[in-house]
Amino acid sequence: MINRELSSSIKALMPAKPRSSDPDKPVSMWRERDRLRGFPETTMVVIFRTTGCSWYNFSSCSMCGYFNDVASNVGVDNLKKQIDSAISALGYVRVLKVFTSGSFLDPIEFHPEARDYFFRKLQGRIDKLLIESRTEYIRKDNIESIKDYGIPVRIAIGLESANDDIIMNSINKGSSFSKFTAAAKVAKNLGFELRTYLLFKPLFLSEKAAISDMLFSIEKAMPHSTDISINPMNIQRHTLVEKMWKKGLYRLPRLWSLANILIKGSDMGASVVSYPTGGNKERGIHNEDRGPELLNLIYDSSLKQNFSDLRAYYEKSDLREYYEYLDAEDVNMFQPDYDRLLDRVVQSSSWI
Amino acid sequence: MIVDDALFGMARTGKLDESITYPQILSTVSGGDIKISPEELFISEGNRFDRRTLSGKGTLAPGKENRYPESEDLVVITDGALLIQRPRKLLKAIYGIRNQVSFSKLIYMQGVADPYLFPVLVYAGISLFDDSTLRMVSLRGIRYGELGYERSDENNFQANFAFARRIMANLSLAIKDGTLREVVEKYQISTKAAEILRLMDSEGYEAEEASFPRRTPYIKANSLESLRRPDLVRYRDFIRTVYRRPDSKKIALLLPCSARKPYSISKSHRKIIEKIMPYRKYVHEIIVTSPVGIVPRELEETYPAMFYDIPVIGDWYEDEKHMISNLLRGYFQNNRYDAVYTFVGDDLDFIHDDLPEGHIKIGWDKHTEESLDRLNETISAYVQQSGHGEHDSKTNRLENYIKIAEYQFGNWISDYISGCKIVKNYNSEMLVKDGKPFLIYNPLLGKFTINKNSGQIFAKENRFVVEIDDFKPTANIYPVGILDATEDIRQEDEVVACHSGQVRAVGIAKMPFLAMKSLRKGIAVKVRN
Repeated sequence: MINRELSSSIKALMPAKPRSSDPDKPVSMWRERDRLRGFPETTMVVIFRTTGCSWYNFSSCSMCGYFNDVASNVGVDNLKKQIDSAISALGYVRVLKVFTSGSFLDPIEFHPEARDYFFRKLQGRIDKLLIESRTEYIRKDNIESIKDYGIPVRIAIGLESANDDIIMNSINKGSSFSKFTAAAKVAKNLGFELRTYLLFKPLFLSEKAAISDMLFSIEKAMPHSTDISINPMNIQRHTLVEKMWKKGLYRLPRLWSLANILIKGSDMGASVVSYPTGGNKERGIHNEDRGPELLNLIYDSSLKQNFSDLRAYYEKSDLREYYEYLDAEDVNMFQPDYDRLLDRVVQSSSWI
Repeated sequence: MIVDDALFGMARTGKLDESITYPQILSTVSGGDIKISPEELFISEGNRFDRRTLSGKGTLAPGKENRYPESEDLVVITDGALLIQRPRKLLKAIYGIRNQVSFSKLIYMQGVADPYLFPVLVYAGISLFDDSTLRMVSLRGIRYGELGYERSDENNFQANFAFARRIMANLSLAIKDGTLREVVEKYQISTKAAEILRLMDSEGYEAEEASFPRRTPYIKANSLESLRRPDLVRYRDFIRTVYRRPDSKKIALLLPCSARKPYSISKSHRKIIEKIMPYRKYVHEIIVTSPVGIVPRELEETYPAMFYDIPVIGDWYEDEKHMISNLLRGYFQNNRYDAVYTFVGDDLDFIHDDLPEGHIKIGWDKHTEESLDRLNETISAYVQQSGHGEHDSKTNRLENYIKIAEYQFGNWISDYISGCKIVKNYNSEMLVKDGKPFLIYNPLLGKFTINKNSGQIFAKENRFVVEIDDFKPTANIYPVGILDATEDIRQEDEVVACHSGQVRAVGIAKMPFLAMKSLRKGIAVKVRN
């Protein structure tokens, strides 16, 4: 299910040729806190440079700029070198999260030989691994053998939304909720854990509708997921989202809304987490007032899976203006950044 | 269901589904005019919009023409907040909708609720707005005042909404009274409002003119925008390209205008007329003025010449000079005279560059009698020397009436009325043909009214004809009974209602032809019994 107009406008923004960058080095590596083993702990993150997501051959997702990190010349040997440098960076860390600019489980993007090398090298070095993939590669024949290495694995799927209309007409994911549930069942039957990524506030949605979309999606994804990670939109380069954001046609969500989603999501009984990329930055989720408290509370409560402090903070804040804005914005069928567009209209009249 | 009470150009006032008056800013707060749920935006039974899917909202891919959602009576311009940034695109969208649905639907624009923009947007043809962006702007502490923003630290939404509603109520009145253009010109707090008006008057002129009323109650030309009023441009186009001088008047005399209308009853013109009285039958008095342009004396009682005011300071703006020069050049290309004289003050000196070669400047000094005497001497000398003969003054009056009729209906009508007799009819006069009243002159309005006799020729020429179903109209004709209307019809025109070539009624158009053809309700023609 594809919206061709949307796909082609996204495709048009993608660089024609991947940049040539060092194929032996991962895109980046860092340490952050997560709770993949049920408690907060330091976790290693590595992003391998690959030839990129199979979906790029067709188009891309409207928010995804990871194609900026791919290289056309990454072969098995290069991947092995990247794996080596990732493992040597592990140090004492026992939990690893692995991303590529596409799907770790795509055998064309990440060759089975490199995959085997990766798992063998990790044996005994880590206690928990998270890998990410599109649904089409989560097939029994493709992933069954992973069990053999004896490393507990959580597979992450970017569901983004449980609403197929949004998947097709806003995100251009080329997937669907039923593909997600089918993949989730395969993973579950094989004994894998599942992390579900949801995208908070994709294009064309009001913030209020985006909050509803998250709560709806949490409810739908919950039975299939070990945990659900809410990714609020961040503006990545050469994406449709960036283009529209620059023109005042897209507005980033507010942290208040994310707090609201996490509180309600946890009330629903879901293990919801959120570690917003670019939080409180210009290109990431932020409130008008960019004080650090709320973002810190969101991190902490996600890690601890205890939302009482966040709830207390949220409930004692005066959010009348925030609610009023969201309600008013939601009336409109067209969803640009009203603050920015209205600003220009307001400027055109004079003060007494 | 839309029921219009009145139209003014593309603007309209009336009721939607018997409950919502327009133009209007709809309330979106809880319990307001618009009900918002995750499923739909509900205005009335026939006017609800699906909000469940993105495609229902009409915005799926950027850079494409938006697919505007429609309901029974409405088309929603969803991206008003974006279009208002580029008024040219906004007008394109409005004209695009009008081309598709003509007047059959109202335009509801989301994303703009700035009271300072309402007059011009209503004038451009938007009937409904909602208060959602006003709610957002009010959060910034902006308070809309009569003369501009007032500073405040509070959320002034209630006051702003009340203000916006007052503006809408006034606009509704202005549409009914025919004064909307006045209001729009005079309410220019926002540069965007001015920009939209100027674009409509320039690039959008054709679309604007096609529905602009033939006449309005008055023109107070307080700003340069008045120069480009469609009714004035329409008049000047006629004078420049269609108008032909009366045959008997072979001497042109250009005169300045006066504040009193018609000019000939003003003190200054009375003095002038007195001095040229014996030769008036040969002299074509042409009044130079702004914003109308030039007015041949015999049209001074018509619209717009009789119905405007302008601030006069004895100095002309470049735009006015340009407009007058342009008009004079075109006029004298089509109208040749044996002699051209000017009797104007120094402020109008610029017109001499645009007059035919050999014109003579007499020069008027308002403070002395001397120049008036010189006027008398100059004209008298010319008439005697050039041997203009005696003239029957009655023919002259008919000639004037013919010119008025030509202006009102087109030059084609002169063949039909050249043999008419003038007969006194109470306080006015009428043209009588073959012993029957034909065209009745209304001196207050400076126009003729058609009757059933003259209606025949309109039917025959297919001008100002409203083709109706097979019925006998009594008081009003509603558009539901109209099959077709000729494209020359504007609001306030005299029209003839026909069925298969047979005249059924005469009356006054209350809509432009486009609305007659696409609407069902509202009064299209007020029938005269």
